Amino acid sequence: MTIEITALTKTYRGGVAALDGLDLTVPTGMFGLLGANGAGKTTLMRILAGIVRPTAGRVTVGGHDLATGAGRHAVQQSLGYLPQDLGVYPDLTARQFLDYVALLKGMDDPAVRRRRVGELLEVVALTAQAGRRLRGFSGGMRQRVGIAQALLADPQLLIVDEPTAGLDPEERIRFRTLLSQFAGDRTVVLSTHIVEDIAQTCREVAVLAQGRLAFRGTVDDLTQRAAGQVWSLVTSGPPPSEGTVVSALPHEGGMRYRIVAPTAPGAEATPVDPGLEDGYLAVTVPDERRPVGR
Amino acid sequence: MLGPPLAVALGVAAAVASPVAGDATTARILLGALEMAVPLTAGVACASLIGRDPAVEIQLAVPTPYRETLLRRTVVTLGWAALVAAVTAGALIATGWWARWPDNHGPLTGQLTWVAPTLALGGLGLAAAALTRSPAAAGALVTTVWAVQQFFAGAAQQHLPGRLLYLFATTRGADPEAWTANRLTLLATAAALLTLAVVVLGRSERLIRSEDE
Repeated sequence: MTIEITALTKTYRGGVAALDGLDLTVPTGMFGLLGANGAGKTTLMRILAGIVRPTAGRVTVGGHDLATGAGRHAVQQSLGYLPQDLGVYPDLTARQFLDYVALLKGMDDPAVRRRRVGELLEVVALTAQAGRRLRGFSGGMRQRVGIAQALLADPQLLIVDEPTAGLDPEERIRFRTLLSQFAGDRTVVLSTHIVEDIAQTCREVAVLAQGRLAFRGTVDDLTQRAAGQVWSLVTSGPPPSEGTVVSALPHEGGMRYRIVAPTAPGAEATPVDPGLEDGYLAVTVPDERRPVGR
Repeated sequence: MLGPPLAVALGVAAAVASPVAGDATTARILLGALEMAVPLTAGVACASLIGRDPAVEIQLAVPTPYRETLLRRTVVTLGWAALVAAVTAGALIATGWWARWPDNHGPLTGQLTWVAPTLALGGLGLAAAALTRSPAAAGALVTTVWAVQQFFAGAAQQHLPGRLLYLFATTRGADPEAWTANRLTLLATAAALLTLAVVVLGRSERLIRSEDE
Protein backbone atom coordinates (compact mmCIF):
# COMPACT_ATOMS: atom_id res chain seq x y z
CA MET A 1 0.00 0.00 0.00
CA THR A 2 1.89 3.04 -1.27
CA ILE A 3 1.33 6.50 0.18
CA GLU A 4 1.71 9.49 -2.16
CA ILE A 5 1.92 12.92 -0.55
CA THR A 6 1.99 15.98 -2.78
CA ALA A 7 2.46 19.60 -1.70
CA LEU A 8 0.85 18.84 1.66
CA THR A 9 0.24 21.87 3.85
CA LYS A 10 -1.51 22.08 7.19
CA THR A 11 -1.97 25.40 8.92
CA TYR A 12 -3.78 25.57 12.23
CA ARG A 13 -5.78 28.44 13.62
CA GLY A 14 -3.52 31.31 14.47
CA GLY A 15 -1.42 30.70 11.37
CA VAL A 16 0.76 27.96 12.86
CA ALA A 17 2.10 25.93 9.91
CA ALA A 18 2.55 22.32 10.98
CA LEU A 19 3.29 21.08 7.46
CA ASP A 20 4.58 23.25 4.67
CA GLY A 21 4.42 21.92 1.11
CA LEU A 22 5.48 18.36 1.92
CA ASP A 23 6.17 15.94 -0.95
CA LEU A 24 6.81 12.35 0.05
CA THR A 25 6.31 8.82 -1.22
CA VAL A 26 6.09 6.00 1.31
CA PRO A 27 6.57 2.50 -0.14
CA THR A 28 5.42 -0.84 1.21
CA GLY A 29 7.42 -2.12 4.21
CA MET A 30 8.76 -0.42 7.31
CA PHE A 31 9.21 3.31 6.86
CA GLY A 32 10.69 5.58 9.50
CA LEU A 33 9.73 9.16 10.09
CA LEU A 34 12.16 11.14 12.20
CA GLY A 35 11.87 14.65 13.50
CA ALA A 36 12.11 16.76 16.60
CA ASN A 37 9.06 17.58 18.72
CA GLY A 38 6.97 20.06 16.75
CA ALA A 39 8.41 19.00 13.38
CA GLY A 40 4.96 18.05 12.10
CA LYS A 41 5.13 14.27 12.53
CA THR A 42 1.93 13.91 14.55
CA THR A 43 0.00 16.16 12.17
CA LEU A 44 1.19 14.05 9.24
CA MET A 45 0.20 10.84 11.06
CA ARG A 46 -3.25 12.26 11.79
CA ILE A 47 -3.74 13.29 8.18
CA LEU A 48 -2.73 9.80 7.00
CA ALA A 49 -5.20 8.31 9.50
CA GLY A 50 -8.00 10.50 8.13
CA ILE A 51 -8.44 12.36 11.42
CA VAL A 52 -7.22 15.79 10.31
CA ARG A 53 -7.89 17.44 6.95
CA PRO A 54 -5.04 19.13 5.10
CA THR A 55 -5.19 22.85 4.35
CA ALA A 56 -3.78 22.20 0.88
CA GLY A 57 -2.16 19.41 -1.09
CA ARG A 58 -3.10 15.84 -1.86
CA VAL A 59 -2.65 12.50 -0.12
CA THR A 60 -3.48 9.13 -1.61
CA VAL A 61 -3.14 5.84 0.24
CA GLY A 62 -3.26 2.76 -1.93
CA GLY A 63 -4.87 4.94 -4.60
CA HIS A 64 -7.59 6.26 -2.26
CA ASP A 65 -7.78 10.04 -2.07
CA LEU A 66 -8.01 11.18 1.56
CA ALA A 67 -9.75 14.39 0.47
CA THR A 68 -12.97 12.43 -0.12
CA GLY A 69 -15.19 10.78 2.48
CA ALA A 70 -15.19 7.54 0.50
CA GLY A 71 -11.39 7.63 0.30
CA ARG A 72 -11.01 8.17 4.03
CA HIS A 73 -13.47 5.38 4.76
CA ALA A 74 -11.64 2.98 2.45
CA VAL A 75 -8.29 3.78 4.06
CA GLN A 76 -9.67 3.47 7.60
CA GLN A 77 -11.01 0.02 6.78
CA SER A 78 -7.46 -1.20 6.25
CA LEU A 79 -5.79 1.01 8.84
CA GLY A 80 -4.24 0.26 12.21
CA TYR A 81 -3.41 3.39 14.18
CA LEU A 82 -1.55 3.83 17.43
CA PRO A 83 -1.70 7.49 18.47
CA GLN A 84 1.04 9.27 20.35
CA ASP A 85 -1.12 9.75 23.43
CA LEU A 86 -2.99 6.50 23.68
CA GLY A 87 -6.20 6.98 25.62
CA VAL A 88 -8.15 3.98 26.88
CA TYR A 89 -11.37 3.49 28.81
CA PRO A 90 -10.08 2.84 32.34
CA ASP A 91 -13.17 0.96 33.52
CA LEU A 92 -12.93 -1.62 30.75
CA THR A 93 -10.73 -4.70 30.94
CA ALA A 94 -8.10 -5.21 28.25
CA ARG A 95 -10.30 -7.84 26.61
CA GLN A 96 -13.40 -5.63 26.71
CA PHE A 97 -11.50 -2.68 25.26
CA LEU A 98 -10.13 -4.71 22.38
CA ASP A 99 -13.55 -6.24 21.75
CA TYR A 100 -15.09 -2.75 21.61
CA VAL A 101 -12.47 -1.43 19.17
CA ALA A 102 -12.90 -4.55 17.04
CA LEU A 103 -16.61 -3.79 16.85
CA LEU A 104 -15.85 -0.22 15.76
CA LYS A 105 -13.58 -1.66 13.08
CA GLY A 106 -16.49 -3.60 11.64
CA MET A 107 -15.73 -7.04 13.07
CA ASP A 108 -19.38 -7.88 13.67
CA ASP A 109 -19.08 -11.64 14.21
CA PRO A 110 -18.62 -12.18 17.99
CA ALA A 111 -16.80 -15.50 17.49
CA VAL A 112 -14.30 -13.97 15.05
CA ARG A 113 -13.81 -11.04 17.38
CA ARG A 114 -13.24 -13.24 20.39
CA ARG A 115 -10.69 -15.34 18.54
CA ARG A 116 -8.78 -12.35 17.15
CA VAL A 117 -8.72 -10.56 20.50
CA GLY A 118 -7.39 -13.73 22.14
CA GLU A 119 -4.66 -14.08 19.50
CA LEU A 120 -3.50 -10.50 19.92
CA LEU A 121 -3.53 -10.65 23.71
CA GLU A 122 -1.19 -13.60 23.29
CA VAL A 123 1.01 -11.70 20.83
CA VAL A 124 1.44 -8.76 23.20
CA ALA A 125 1.84 -11.07 26.21
CA LEU A 126 -1.21 -9.83 28.06
CA THR A 127 -3.33 -12.98 28.18
CA ALA A 128 -2.86 -13.29 31.94
CA GLN A 129 -3.97 -9.69 32.46
CA ALA A 130 -6.84 -9.76 29.96
CA GLY A 131 -9.48 -9.62 32.68
CA ARG A 132 -7.93 -6.72 34.58
CA ARG A 133 -9.24 -3.19 34.26
CA LEU A 134 -7.04 -0.87 32.22
CA ARG A 135 -7.05 1.59 35.12
CA GLY A 136 -4.39 -0.50 36.84
CA PHE A 137 -2.14 -1.02 33.80
CA SER A 138 1.38 0.43 33.63
CA GLY A 139 2.40 2.66 30.70
CA GLY A 140 4.11 -0.23 28.96
CA MET A 141 1.12 -2.53 29.38
CA ARG A 142 -1.21 0.14 28.01
CA GLN A 143 1.10 0.59 25.04
CA ARG A 144 0.88 -3.14 24.40
CA VAL A 145 -2.91 -2.88 24.48
CA GLY A 146 -2.50 0.00 22.02
CA ILE A 147 -0.53 -2.06 19.53
CA ALA A 148 -3.01 -4.92 19.92
CA GLN A 149 -5.94 -2.66 19.03
CA ALA A 150 -4.00 -1.33 16.04
CA LEU A 151 -3.48 -4.85 14.70
CA LEU A 152 -7.06 -6.01 15.29
CA ALA A 153 -8.43 -6.04 11.74
CA ASP A 154 -5.18 -7.25 10.16
CA PRO A 155 -4.45 -3.81 8.67
CA GLN A 156 -2.57 -3.26 5.43
CA LEU A 157 -1.42 0.11 6.70
CA LEU A 158 -0.11 0.53 10.23
CA ILE A 159 0.64 4.00 11.57
CA VAL A 160 2.42 4.19 14.90
CA ASP A 161 3.23 7.57 16.42
CA GLU A 162 6.01 7.64 19.03
CA PRO A 163 5.19 4.06 20.10
CA THR A 164 8.18 3.40 22.32
CA ALA A 165 8.06 6.56 24.39
CA GLY A 166 7.80 5.54 28.04
CA LEU A 167 8.69 1.89 27.44
CA ASP A 168 11.55 0.21 29.27
CA PRO A 169 14.42 -1.17 27.12
CA GLU A 170 13.10 -4.72 27.10
CA GLU A 171 9.63 -3.60 26.05
CA ARG A 172 11.10 -1.35 23.35
CA ILE A 173 13.01 -4.25 21.84
CA ARG A 174 9.94 -6.48 21.99
CA PHE A 175 7.87 -3.77 20.36
CA ARG A 176 10.34 -3.16 17.55
CA THR A 177 10.59 -6.87 16.83
CA LEU A 178 6.81 -7.12 16.72
CA LEU A 179 6.57 -4.27 14.23
CA SER A 180 9.27 -5.73 11.99
CA GLN A 181 7.62 -9.14 12.01
CA PHE A 182 4.28 -7.59 11.18
CA ALA A 183 5.51 -5.41 8.30
CA GLY A 184 6.09 -8.01 5.56
CA ASP A 185 4.12 -6.88 2.52
CA ARG A 186 2.23 -4.27 4.54
CA THR A 187 3.08 -0.60 5.02
CA VAL A 188 4.20 0.42 8.49
CA VAL A 189 4.90 4.09 9.17
CA LEU A 190 6.91 4.48 12.36
CA SER A 191 7.08 8.05 13.59
CA THR A 192 9.55 8.75 16.35
CA HIS A 193 12.27 11.02 17.63
CA ILE A 194 14.20 8.03 18.94
CA VAL A 195 16.83 7.39 16.28
CA GLU A 196 17.67 3.94 17.61
CA ASP A 197 14.15 2.68 16.88
CA ILE A 198 14.55 3.63 13.22
CA ALA A 199 18.06 2.19 13.01
CA GLN A 200 16.85 -1.18 14.26
CA THR A 201 13.72 -1.52 12.14
CA CYS A 202 13.67 0.58 8.96
CA ARG A 203 15.54 0.58 5.69
CA GLU A 204 13.98 3.79 4.44
CA VAL A 205 13.49 6.96 6.36
CA ALA A 206 12.33 10.56 6.04
CA VAL A 207 13.31 13.42 8.30
CA LEU A 208 10.93 16.28 8.98
CA ALA A 209 12.05 19.64 10.26
CA GLN A 210 9.68 22.55 10.80
CA GLY A 211 7.01 20.95 8.64
CA ARG A 212 9.30 20.38 5.68
CA LEU A 213 11.15 17.40 4.31
CA ALA A 214 14.78 17.64 5.39
CA PHE A 215 15.79 14.21 4.11
CA ARG A 216 14.38 11.20 2.29
CA GLY A 217 16.41 8.08 1.59
CA THR A 218 17.82 4.94 3.13
CA VAL A 219 19.10 4.71 6.67
CA ASP A 220 22.63 4.26 5.25
CA ASP A 221 22.21 7.41 3.15
CA LEU A 222 21.19 9.36 6.22
CA THR A 223 24.17 8.04 8.14
CA GLN A 224 26.50 9.06 5.32
CA ARG A 225 25.13 12.63 5.38
CA ALA A 226 27.35 13.10 8.41
CA ALA A 227 30.47 11.63 6.78
CA GLY A 228 33.43 13.90 7.43
CA GLN A 229 31.43 15.92 9.95
CA VAL A 230 31.76 13.76 13.07
CA TRP A 231 34.59 14.41 15.49
CA SER A 232 35.94 13.11 18.74
CA LEU A 233 37.56 15.60 21.08
CA VAL A 234 39.10 14.99 24.51
CA THR A 235 39.47 18.07 26.67
CA SER A 236 39.50 19.09 30.31
CA GLY A 237 38.13 22.50 29.41
CA PRO A 238 34.61 23.59 28.51
CA PRO A 239 32.76 21.86 25.66
CA PRO A 240 33.51 23.23 22.19
CA SER A 241 31.29 26.07 21.03
CA GLU A 242 31.25 24.90 17.41
CA GLY A 243 28.99 22.12 16.19
CA THR A 244 26.50 19.95 18.05
CA VAL A 245 27.63 17.80 20.95
CA VAL A 246 26.19 14.33 20.46
CA SER A 247 27.67 12.75 23.57
CA ALA A 248 29.94 13.57 26.48
CA LEU A 249 31.78 10.85 28.44
CA PRO A 250 34.21 11.25 31.35
CA HIS A 251 37.74 10.45 30.12
CA GLU A 252 41.00 10.52 32.14
CA GLY A 253 40.37 13.70 34.07
CA GLY A 254 38.57 15.38 31.24
CA MET A 255 35.67 14.69 28.89
CA ARG A 256 35.45 12.95 25.55
CA TYR A 257 32.99 14.77 23.31
CA ARG A 258 31.43 13.46 20.14
CA ILE A 259 30.61 16.42 17.94
CA VAL A 260 28.88 16.95 14.61
CA ALA A 261 30.38 19.98 12.89
CA PRO A 262 31.27 20.86 9.28
CA THR A 263 34.87 21.54 10.31
CA ALA A 264 37.08 20.23 13.10
CA PRO A 265 35.98 21.90 16.35
CA GLY A 266 39.57 22.08 17.63
CA ALA A 267 43.14 21.20 16.78
CA GLU A 268 42.97 17.96 18.81
CA ALA A 269 39.71 16.81 17.26
CA THR A 270 39.95 13.56 15.32
CA PRO A 271 37.41 12.40 12.69
CA VAL A 272 35.29 9.34 13.53
CA ASP A 273 32.82 7.17 11.61
CA PRO A 274 29.30 8.59 11.54
CA GLY A 275 26.24 6.91 13.03
CA LEU A 276 22.57 7.39 12.20
CA GLU A 277 22.12 9.88 15.02
CA ASP A 278 24.99 11.94 13.57
CA GLY A 279 23.32 11.87 10.16
CA TYR A 280 20.04 13.01 11.66
CA LEU A 281 21.75 15.94 13.37
CA ALA A 282 23.67 16.77 10.20
CA VAL A 283 20.44 17.25 8.22
CA THR A 284 18.44 19.01 10.91
CA VAL A 285 20.62 21.08 13.18
CA PRO A 286 22.94 23.16 10.98
CA ASP A 287 20.33 24.20 8.48
CA GLU A 288 16.84 22.82 9.01
CA ARG A 289 15.74 24.09 5.62
CA ARG A 290 18.51 22.62 3.52
CA PRO A 291 17.43 21.15 0.18
CA VAL A 292 16.19 17.59 0.14
CA GLY A 293 18.70 15.04 -1.07
CA ARG A 294 19.05 11.33 -1.36
CA MET B 1 -26.72 6.15 34.97
CA LEU B 2 -27.71 6.99 38.52
CA GLY B 3 -28.97 10.48 37.66
CA PRO B 4 -32.55 9.80 36.53
CA PRO B 5 -33.43 7.27 39.29
CA LEU B 6 -31.89 9.57 41.89
CA ALA B 7 -33.91 12.48 40.50
CA VAL B 8 -37.11 10.47 40.86
CA ALA B 9 -36.14 9.29 44.35
CA LEU B 10 -35.51 12.89 45.41
CA GLY B 11 -38.92 13.88 44.03
CA VAL B 12 -40.65 11.12 45.96
CA ALA B 13 -38.74 12.04 49.12
CA ALA B 14 -39.70 15.70 48.67
CA ALA B 15 -43.35 14.71 48.21
CA VAL B 16 -43.31 12.57 51.33
CA ALA B 17 -41.60 15.28 53.37
CA SER B 18 -43.66 18.16 52.01
CA PRO B 19 -44.99 20.30 54.87
CA VAL B 20 -47.81 21.58 52.67
CA ALA B 21 -50.87 19.39 53.06
CA GLY B 22 -53.09 18.33 50.19
CA ASP B 23 -53.13 15.72 47.43
CA ALA B 24 -52.72 18.29 44.65
CA THR B 25 -49.52 19.65 46.15
CA THR B 26 -48.07 16.16 46.59
CA ALA B 27 -49.08 15.24 43.03
CA ARG B 28 -47.49 18.43 41.73
CA ILE B 29 -44.20 17.58 43.43
CA LEU B 30 -44.28 14.06 42.00
CA LEU B 31 -44.98 15.31 38.47
CA GLY B 32 -42.40 18.01 39.06
CA ALA B 33 -39.76 15.31 39.58
CA LEU B 34 -40.55 14.07 36.08
CA GLU B 35 -40.76 17.53 34.51
CA MET B 36 -37.82 19.17 36.30
CA ALA B 37 -35.39 16.71 37.86
CA VAL B 38 -35.24 13.98 35.20
CA PRO B 39 -34.67 16.47 32.31
CA LEU B 40 -31.90 18.20 34.26
CA THR B 41 -30.00 14.94 34.80
CA ALA B 42 -30.52 13.98 31.14
CA GLY B 43 -29.27 17.37 29.94
CA VAL B 44 -26.15 17.26 32.09
CA ALA B 45 -25.48 13.66 31.05
CA CYS B 46 -25.73 14.59 27.35
CA ALA B 47 -23.39 17.53 27.96
CA SER B 48 -20.77 15.12 29.29
CA LEU B 49 -20.76 12.88 26.21
CA ILE B 50 -18.33 15.03 24.22
CA GLY B 51 -14.89 16.30 25.17
CA ARG B 52 -14.00 13.69 27.77
CA ASP B 53 -13.49 10.62 25.61
CA PRO B 54 -9.98 9.36 26.39
CA ALA B 55 -9.89 7.23 23.24
CA VAL B 56 -11.14 9.91 20.86
CA GLU B 57 -8.17 9.59 18.51
CA ILE B 58 -8.73 5.86 18.09
CA GLN B 59 -12.43 6.52 17.59
CA LEU B 60 -11.68 9.00 14.79
CA ALA B 61 -9.41 6.55 12.97
CA VAL B 62 -11.87 3.63 12.72
CA PRO B 63 -14.37 3.05 9.89
CA THR B 64 -17.36 3.60 12.21
CA PRO B 65 -17.93 7.39 12.20
CA TYR B 66 -17.44 8.87 15.66
CA ARG B 67 -20.55 10.97 15.13
CA GLU B 68 -22.52 7.73 14.85
CA THR B 69 -20.97 6.44 18.07
CA LEU B 70 -21.81 9.67 19.90
CA LEU B 71 -25.38 9.62 18.66
CA ARG B 72 -25.75 6.03 19.88
CA ARG B 73 -24.48 7.13 23.28
CA THR B 74 -26.99 9.99 23.23
CA VAL B 75 -29.81 7.57 22.44
CA VAL B 76 -28.75 5.34 25.34
CA THR B 77 -28.48 8.34 27.70
CA LEU B 78 -31.86 9.79 26.76
CA GLY B 79 -33.39 6.32 26.47
CA TRP B 80 -32.40 5.48 30.04
CA ALA B 81 -33.87 8.74 31.33
CA ALA B 82 -37.03 8.05 29.31
CA LEU B 83 -37.31 4.52 30.68
CA VAL B 84 -37.03 5.74 34.28
CA ALA B 85 -39.51 8.55 33.63
CA ALA B 86 -41.98 6.26 31.83
CA VAL B 87 -41.90 3.66 34.62
CA THR B 88 -42.38 6.41 37.20
CA ALA B 89 -45.23 7.94 35.22
CA GLY B 90 -46.82 4.49 34.94
CA ALA B 91 -46.60 4.07 38.69
CA LEU B 92 -48.15 7.50 39.26
CA ILE B 93 -50.99 6.72 36.85
CA ALA B 94 -51.59 3.32 38.43
CA THR B 95 -51.67 4.74 41.95
CA GLY B 96 -53.88 7.67 41.01
CA TRP B 97 -51.37 10.40 41.81
CA TRP B 98 -51.14 11.44 38.15
CA ALA B 99 -54.84 12.35 38.05
CA ARG B 100 -54.65 14.33 41.29
CA TRP B 101 -52.78 17.17 39.59
CA PRO B 102 -55.51 19.17 37.81
CA ASP B 103 -53.33 20.13 34.78
CA ASN B 104 -52.10 16.59 34.07
CA HIS B 105 -53.28 16.54 30.39
CA GLY B 106 -54.21 12.89 30.55
CA PRO B 107 -52.19 9.69 30.84
CA LEU B 108 -51.10 9.68 27.18
CA THR B 109 -50.61 13.26 25.96
CA GLY B 110 -49.54 14.09 29.48
CA GLN B 111 -46.30 12.15 28.92
CA LEU B 112 -45.09 15.24 27.11
CA THR B 113 -44.66 16.57 30.65
CA TRP B 114 -41.25 14.86 30.78
CA VAL B 115 -40.61 14.01 27.10
CA ALA B 116 -40.42 17.62 25.89
CA PRO B 117 -38.07 19.10 28.53
CA THR B 118 -35.91 15.96 28.58
CA LEU B 119 -35.32 16.17 24.84
CA ALA B 120 -34.89 19.94 24.94
CA LEU B 121 -32.26 19.91 27.69
CA GLY B 122 -30.63 16.80 26.20
CA GLY B 123 -30.38 18.54 22.82
CA LEU B 124 -29.06 21.69 24.47
CA GLY B 125 -26.40 19.73 26.36
CA LEU B 126 -25.24 17.82 23.30
CA ALA B 127 -25.19 20.86 20.99
CA ALA B 128 -23.34 22.97 23.57
CA ALA B 129 -20.79 20.22 24.14
CA ALA B 130 -20.28 19.78 20.39
CA LEU B 131 -19.72 23.51 19.96
CA THR B 132 -17.54 24.12 23.03
CA ARG B 133 -15.91 20.65 23.37
CA SER B 134 -16.17 21.32 27.08
CA PRO B 135 -18.43 19.12 29.20
CA ALA B 136 -18.10 21.59 32.07
CA ALA B 137 -19.21 24.58 29.98
CA ALA B 138 -22.04 22.63 28.36
CA GLY B 139 -23.21 21.27 31.72
CA ALA B 140 -23.07 24.76 33.21
CA LEU B 141 -25.21 26.12 30.36
CA VAL B 142 -27.83 23.40 30.86
CA THR B 143 -27.88 24.00 34.60
CA THR B 144 -28.11 27.77 34.16
CA VAL B 145 -31.04 27.57 31.74
CA TRP B 146 -32.79 25.17 34.13
CA ALA B 147 -32.08 27.34 37.19
CA VAL B 148 -33.18 30.60 35.54
CA GLN B 149 -36.50 29.03 34.56
CA GLN B 150 -36.82 27.50 37.98
CA PHE B 151 -36.06 30.54 40.11
CA PHE B 152 -37.41 33.25 37.80
CA ALA B 153 -40.50 31.45 36.57
CA GLY B 154 -42.58 34.63 36.43
CA ALA B 155 -40.09 36.65 34.43
CA ALA B 156 -39.36 33.72 32.16
CA GLN B 157 -43.04 33.48 31.17
CA GLN B 158 -43.76 37.18 30.84
CA HIS B 159 -43.77 37.16 27.04
CA LEU B 160 -45.02 34.64 24.48
CA PRO B 161 -41.59 33.31 23.36
CA GLY B 162 -40.68 32.74 27.01
CA ARG B 163 -43.95 30.92 27.64
CA LEU B 164 -43.43 28.73 24.57
CA LEU B 165 -39.91 27.81 25.66
CA TYR B 166 -40.73 27.36 29.35
CA LEU B 167 -39.58 23.91 30.46
CA PHE B 168 -41.98 23.41 33.36
CA ALA B 169 -45.34 24.33 31.81
CA THR B 170 -47.19 21.34 33.32
CA THR B 171 -46.45 22.06 36.96
CA ARG B 172 -45.61 25.78 36.92
CA GLY B 173 -47.07 27.05 33.64
CA ALA B 174 -48.52 30.57 33.64
CA ASP B 175 -50.85 29.85 30.73
CA PRO B 176 -52.40 26.33 30.77
CA GLU B 177 -54.06 27.05 27.40
CA ALA B 178 -50.66 27.33 25.74
CA TRP B 179 -49.48 23.94 27.09
CA THR B 180 -49.69 22.04 23.79
CA ALA B 181 -47.99 24.83 21.84
CA ASN B 182 -45.29 24.96 24.54
CA ARG B 183 -44.62 21.22 24.33
CA LEU B 184 -44.48 21.27 20.53
CA THR B 185 -42.13 24.26 20.60
CA LEU B 186 -39.82 22.43 23.01
CA LEU B 187 -39.84 19.34 20.78
CA ALA B 188 -39.04 21.46 17.71
CA THR B 189 -36.25 23.20 19.64
CA ALA B 190 -34.86 19.81 20.66
CA ALA B 191 -34.91 18.66 17.03
CA ALA B 192 -33.09 21.83 15.92
CA LEU B 193 -30.44 21.46 18.65
CA LEU B 194 -29.85 17.78 17.89
CA THR B 195 -29.52 18.61 14.18
CA LEU B 196 -27.00 21.32 15.02
CA ALA B 197 -25.02 18.82 17.09
CA VAL B 198 -25.04 16.28 14.25
CA VAL B 199 -23.72 18.90 11.81
CA VAL B 200 -20.98 20.12 14.15
CA LEU B 201 -19.90 16.57 15.02
CA GLY B 202 -19.33 15.91 11.32
CA ARG B 203 -16.13 17.95 11.59
CA SER B 204 -13.97 15.42 13.38
CA GLU B 205 -10.97 17.73 13.65
CA ARG B 206 -12.87 19.87 16.14
CA LEU B 207 -13.00 16.95 18.55
CA ILE B 208 -9.26 16.84 19.05
CA ARG B 209 -8.00 19.30 21.62
CA SER B 210 -6.14 22.20 20.06
CA GLU B 211 -3.12 21.69 22.29
CA ASP B 212 -2.67 18.26 20.70
CA GLU B 213 -2.43 19.76 17.29
